[in-house]
Amino acid sequence: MGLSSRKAIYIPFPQAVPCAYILNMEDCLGNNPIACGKCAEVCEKRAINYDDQDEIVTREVGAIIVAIGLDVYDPTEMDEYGYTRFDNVVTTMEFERLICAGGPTGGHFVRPSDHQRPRRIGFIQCVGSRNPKVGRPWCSNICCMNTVKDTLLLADHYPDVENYVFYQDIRAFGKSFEDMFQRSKEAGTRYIRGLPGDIEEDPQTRNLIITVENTTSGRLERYELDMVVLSVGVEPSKDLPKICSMLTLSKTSDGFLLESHPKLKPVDAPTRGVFFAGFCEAPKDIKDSVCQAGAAASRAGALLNAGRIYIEAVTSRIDEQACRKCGLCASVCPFGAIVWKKGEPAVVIEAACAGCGACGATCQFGAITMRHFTDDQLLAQVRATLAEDPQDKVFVFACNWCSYAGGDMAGISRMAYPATNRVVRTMCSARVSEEMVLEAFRCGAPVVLVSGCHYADCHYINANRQTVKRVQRLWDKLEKAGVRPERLQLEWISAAEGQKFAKVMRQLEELRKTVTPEEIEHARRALAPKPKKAGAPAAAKQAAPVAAGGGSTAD
Amino acid sequence: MATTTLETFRCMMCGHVYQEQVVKGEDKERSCPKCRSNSIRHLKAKPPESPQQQSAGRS
Repeated sequence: MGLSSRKAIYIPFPQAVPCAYILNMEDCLGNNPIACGKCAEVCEKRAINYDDQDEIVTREVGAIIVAIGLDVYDPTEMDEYGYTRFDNVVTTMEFERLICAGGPTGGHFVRPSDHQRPRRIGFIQCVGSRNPKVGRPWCSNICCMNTVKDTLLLADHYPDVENYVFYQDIRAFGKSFEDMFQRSKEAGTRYIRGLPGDIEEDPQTRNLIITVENTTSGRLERYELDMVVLSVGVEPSKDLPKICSMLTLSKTSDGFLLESHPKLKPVDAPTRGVFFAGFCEAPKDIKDSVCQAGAAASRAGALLNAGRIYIEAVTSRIDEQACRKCGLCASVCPFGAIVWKKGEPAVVIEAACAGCGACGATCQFGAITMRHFTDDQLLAQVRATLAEDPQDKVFVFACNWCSYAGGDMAGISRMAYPATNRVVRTMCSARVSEEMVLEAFRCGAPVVLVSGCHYADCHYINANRQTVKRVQRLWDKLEKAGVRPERLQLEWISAAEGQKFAKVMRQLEELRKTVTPEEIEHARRALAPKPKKAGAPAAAKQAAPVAAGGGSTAD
Repeated sequence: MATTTLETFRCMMCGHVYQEQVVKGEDKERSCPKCRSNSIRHLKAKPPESPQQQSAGRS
């Protein structure tokens, strides 16, 4: 802000952790050749090395905690608040520096334009938060209480200062936060419900004129203020995409990291051995960040000290003899749990495999067995389900975590829907291979639904994107075979969407009624497996039919 | 800068055909603007538009 100068070597701020000096090489005279070097002379620990360079260090670790923090929203694009035009419009970060005892003014609060102490200060909330227009629909969580704290601080240090807070909602839901909010109001802070539409500057006084619609009174009000503080929101760190790529993590729609389960595994990444702490997962205050960091450390400690790791039995197994070394399975594994080198059979790292089954559904050579959800088992379920009166049934593949639970929700909520559906559960919709869908049509199913989690909810990072690709291919294949592609449907149904499950079932029942016996018969014939050429390798995908109702041996 | 193309989609539930800007490499859950179904088929070849669809505009 140009209020003071800083030496080339400094501690970022008095409370910095670690409380260590930073050498700014752009300003330092010691950088090639050494012209000064005084700091190195006086450092008894010999901690200063001018020739030190960035380097990549390789370490083998058993767990990784992602705690890369956040970035602060840059309000430059919101020109209506005049951040780039008016000196006396500052962000909360700049305001913190102005009132900080270790800041450029030594804690003496002045406004940037004339270095005089402001008497009337306005705080504008939700700048870059809860605003879909600037691509930031989320609540930044910390801004309301930060402003409440700032108003209390100002009221304590400068009793004559008038504080005005322009807000849409004050979110004071933490412990003692409501009490702080009340104290702020008792200290004289005026809370005006409404966000300003525009800020103008008086060229004579450099004061700021704010026009705001007070939604409580319904009136258009104008305020003349000495200084305005923009309560800027937070956003995911710019380094997050790189971290996601390195650790095969996925993000929620707002760009923060997706946890393994929002309630049961809130600090675990879907990738095993990776944990989250702090803002990278979602906006949170210091207390919640500390709680999450403690939980992440505990989870990592439990993993490292276990001695023996127990994993779910639902994992993939690759038959090296049957593997054609194509590497497709490795390319679709969301967890990077399949290692493949050109010319060599693929290998599953079982400790990293989460059991989505995308690899098993992708392999065209039957080389991958998904324990407990083998091709034979699932095809047997398809055949058994459609053994009698298939024309009266809507066949549904539902993923374990969302769609199947959505069906449960519809049931326990006593929602009415046709009883014609027959559900086969898979761990992920990506486990449903083309062969399984085609087999359902061959068995006479009028309508087949493949259902899974919504994109943001996929429990296997992004395995359900494979489902989309597969269903697209199947639609093409059905159309080519003269089968109405509409008979295959795809839906994302979450565990909470019992209503959607019931609605989809009603729609599919209506669709089923339109499918004629001739269409069913045509599909049976058109999709029948073609006879193999003599000498062709056995395609293990087309498993031998089993008797109706007969299960298959568990793996 | 990401490449954006105008692509055609067809809802396999209600039959609604619509066009949408697609950014190359985007990871977006699609749903029909008319019936909200997720059975959205990406049509590779542009289908002939009916006058009604032309006047209805693009979603």
